Amino acid sequence: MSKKFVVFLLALMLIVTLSMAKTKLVLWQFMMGDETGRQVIEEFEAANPDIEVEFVQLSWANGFDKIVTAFAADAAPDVLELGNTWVANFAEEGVLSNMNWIMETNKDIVGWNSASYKGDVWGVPWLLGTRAMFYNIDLFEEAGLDPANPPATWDEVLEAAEKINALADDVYGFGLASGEPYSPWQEWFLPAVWGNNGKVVSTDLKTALFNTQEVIEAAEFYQNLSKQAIMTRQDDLMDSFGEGKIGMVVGGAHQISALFTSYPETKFLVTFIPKPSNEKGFHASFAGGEILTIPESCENKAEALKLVEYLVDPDVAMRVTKGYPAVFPSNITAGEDPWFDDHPLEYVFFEQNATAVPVPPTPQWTKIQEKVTEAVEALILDQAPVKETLNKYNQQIQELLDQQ
Amino acid sequence: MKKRTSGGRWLFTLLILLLVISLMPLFMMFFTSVIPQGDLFHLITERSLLDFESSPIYLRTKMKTIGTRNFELKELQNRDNKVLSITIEDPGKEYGVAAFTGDNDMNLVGHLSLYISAPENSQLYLGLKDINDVEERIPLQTITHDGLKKLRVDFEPQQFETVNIGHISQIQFIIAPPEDALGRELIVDDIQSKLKFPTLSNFITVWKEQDFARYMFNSSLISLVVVLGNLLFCSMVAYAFARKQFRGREILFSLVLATMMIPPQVTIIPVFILMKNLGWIDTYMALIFPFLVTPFGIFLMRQYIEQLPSEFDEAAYVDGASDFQIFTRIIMPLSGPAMAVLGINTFITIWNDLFYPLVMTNSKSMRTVQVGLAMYQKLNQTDWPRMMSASTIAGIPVIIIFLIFQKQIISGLVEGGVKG
Amino acid sequence: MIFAFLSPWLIIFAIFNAFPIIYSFFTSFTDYSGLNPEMKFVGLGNYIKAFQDEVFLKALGNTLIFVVGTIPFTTGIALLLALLLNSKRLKKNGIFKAGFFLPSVISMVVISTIWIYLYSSNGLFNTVGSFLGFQMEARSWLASPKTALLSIMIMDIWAAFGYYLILIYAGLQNVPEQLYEAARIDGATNTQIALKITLPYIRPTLFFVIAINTIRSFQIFSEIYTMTGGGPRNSTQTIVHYLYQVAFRQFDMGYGSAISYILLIMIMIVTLIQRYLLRSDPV
Repeated sequence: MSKKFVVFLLALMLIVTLSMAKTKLVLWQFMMGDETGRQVIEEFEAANPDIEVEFVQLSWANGFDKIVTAFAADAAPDVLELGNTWVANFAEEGVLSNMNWIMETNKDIVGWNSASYKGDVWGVPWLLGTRAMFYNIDLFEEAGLDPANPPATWDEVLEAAEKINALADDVYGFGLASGEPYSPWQEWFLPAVWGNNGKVVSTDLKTALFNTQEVIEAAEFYQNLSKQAIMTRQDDLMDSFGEGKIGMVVGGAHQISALFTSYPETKFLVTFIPKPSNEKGFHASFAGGEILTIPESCENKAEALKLVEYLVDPDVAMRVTKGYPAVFPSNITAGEDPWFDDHPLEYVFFEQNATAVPVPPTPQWTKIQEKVTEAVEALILDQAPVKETLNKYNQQIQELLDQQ
Repeated sequence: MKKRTSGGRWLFTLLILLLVISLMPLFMMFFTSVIPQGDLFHLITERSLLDFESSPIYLRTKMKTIGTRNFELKELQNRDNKVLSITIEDPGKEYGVAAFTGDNDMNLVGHLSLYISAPENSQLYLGLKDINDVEERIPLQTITHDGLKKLRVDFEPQQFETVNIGHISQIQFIIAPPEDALGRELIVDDIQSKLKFPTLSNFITVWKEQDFARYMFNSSLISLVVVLGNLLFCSMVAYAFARKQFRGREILFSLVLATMMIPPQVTIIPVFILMKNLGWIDTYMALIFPFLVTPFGIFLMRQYIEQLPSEFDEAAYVDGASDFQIFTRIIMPLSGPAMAVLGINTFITIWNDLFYPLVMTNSKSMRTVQVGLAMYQKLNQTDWPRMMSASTIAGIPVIIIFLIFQKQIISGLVEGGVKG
Repeated sequence: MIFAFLSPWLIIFAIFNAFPIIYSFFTSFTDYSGLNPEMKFVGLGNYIKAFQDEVFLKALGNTLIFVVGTIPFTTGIALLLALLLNSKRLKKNGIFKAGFFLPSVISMVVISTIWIYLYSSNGLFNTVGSFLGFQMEARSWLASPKTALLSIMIMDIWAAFGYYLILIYAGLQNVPEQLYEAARIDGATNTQIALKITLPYIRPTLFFVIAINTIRSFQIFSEIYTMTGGGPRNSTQTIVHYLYQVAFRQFDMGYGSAISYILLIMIMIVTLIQRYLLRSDPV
């Protein structure tokens, strides 16, 4: 046998082993569009030549069903983006890998509480979305309010809302979401409770705390505000706000660009969600978060972790934000990105993330939140008595917790 | 000629009215797909990018100056609104203003306009910056006189090469002043953009960005194969159910109906498990095979064939024709209208299905039109013009198929039957 | 020979339908979550749970309202228009057929998105309402428990009648012309011909249309999913939407399967009744 042939054979074997050694990962995610996703993955593969990534873009329509189906058929991906409200359910079923130790090494990342369940961490926060308060400059000026000093406390909001509401019949001081499954509690009611140091469920997830003094105060405030408010679905509120009929409304960052394209004439600014008073509470908001998880079935966890760490890198996460400025990197150093200079309103949301609160991580949350929505609508639409209403729903929430 | 009665005329008017109501959302869809910005009732063809009337705190979120941080808002004589004024501190530098545009698709812009006054012989540039911080500028003209003058800039996207024209976050107007300009002013007011209307730009963007050509191919292939399968197989099965007496006929037929009555939401998981074991995930097989015979088609054809007068096939039977001959020579030719309806329905059902192909496919190259369309639904956000143009693209093939098939929905009996 | 004709369906059924049906029927007796393959046998537990579950009963009620409220309109309008369009005068006029049918070619998601907008506080319905002098509430029609289900029903009637129109129209095509002529010679009016000759003749088609309409209405899902998500206050919660939520959002796949089999039995009973009422009389 010639020497050349042996060398050739060895080289061939080397190539084969090398290509065999390439680990294949499957990534399922919602947030990156095809274009961004392809670029990011190519760069990751260039940096990690031994890893090959199959990139699957999920759509908001039915994407979640696809995830559940895949888990049921034992065909889960290696890295999966999950909304923070789902982490508790998946962790409870034992299908996610524990990520406690990774938290220690990533000090710049915030939002770990949205990836936690029963004291353990089950994923890495990737992109966070929250709510802030939009206000209409022209209506503020018309009502004699200073747009440079928007309301920062509950009393100031009530006062401003009253003044704006008095301007005309079809002008409303505030816009409160109602008539939908989620927005009635997301777009301010629960943030008001949290900001007042209240809670729906105790930290050990065993006791309903929906009728405590903190919640009562928040509910009373919310009911007062509803007297100066238009109450309909969130999309409607934003349209009415765009038409200049609403003074203030709580909304998400995606609404900045929606207003900018559909209602270019409306001048508005964004500020933190008001807190109970200067002495008490904080500017709480709703924390939505996209969490990168590694399903327990993943066979190459070390490589999967590399991909997760690559995606949460502030520069990579910032690219997602640039394409879809509704969510912002969990890594606080991303705030230095020059993109925010041209997007000062989005920066308010990025900062608001710091005081955003996630929903309690109980698998019963999908049912509990229905009760909270019912309670909110009873308070603002039927003007039901605060204490009785909260007592009634507190009991129902307790029953749901007891089933667990 | 028969005179049309007044009752007939009323009826006709009523029909027209119904037709208009029935078609209105469709018209709204078509209309919205050619508007540059806005939504169903809300057409935006012109937008003010910057004027300087509003409070400084608002302006700070909308613009920044280039070359210096100092600027002044002032009222000029014989002009009743405020303008932006920048003093040239160093003629060697460039000065200008940048309007923040969020994430703007410049393909939709027809022209830009602004009021500008600058020292004579200043070179004016139009600059764009995209969301990834790429900047590019083109020279516009040299300013030839010193008064405030309205300037119109016809915008042509081809002039820009490096910047991502579909995602622009800043529009900049910049001047390079002449050497003797120290201490003089750059004045700018009322920057506006005029959008193209009607525009096909949405279609182009959607088509390019989402590889709709591929999705169309996938959907067409799947739908056509399934339609052919249904036309042949469903009528075969239906013939047996409608014309033959055999044991267990009613039980079997109830089973056909029952498969329709179980909602797909509960069977999707076992179907997925099945496809996974067959190795058919993300293949055409998974999207075609289960639908080659549908209970809907069997049911439709059975009821139709049952309704056909049985004299023809009885006569043929007496003449010694086989079942196969009766089916191909008599039943099929007479079933034209039902087959046309079955074809249309099957095509629409397969073409418009989202849930099933979404769960069964992973890669971009396997997406169907509806799966591609679903990618346009961002969380809490509707980009109306794009979404409607994507829906129009998705809808047109179905409309064409309908127009082709609907000619066949005419009396099969008179024409086919007598000849048969 | 019969087997040869039936074989395409038997094969497809055996491969693609039998296993999913058996599997989901089996899981309806377990506490299967969907996420995790472990499951425990719970007997009839899920079925008993359904009838103690307020939300399910509400969904059942809403579904029945939807079925009873839409089928007469969709079928009725479709039948009337089909008879009209099949008349000699309009038969050549393809534009009506096409015009009425076209809404059903667009996917329900898009249709629903458009209608959400029409129902919104500043939408078409409120605008027209206040133009006509009604006092309109500044709320979306879909935001109020009183109007939400009704709004979806109106949309559904609009979106569906053209579809059934074409099905009936096709059925009208094999009514032998001689029957009409004979009746006309006897001096029957158009109405009499329709009631005495056409309708009895197309009974199989009518049964098909009504049965299909029943199945689809009982299974109403995408409109609800896109427009209201079952709210407000479960006023638009329907059986299939609820079972979807139970299975895919509350991770109780076993319970979801049980609900679907309850639904199957209900539709089956209704269909059998319809079949009996619309049976073809032996000639």
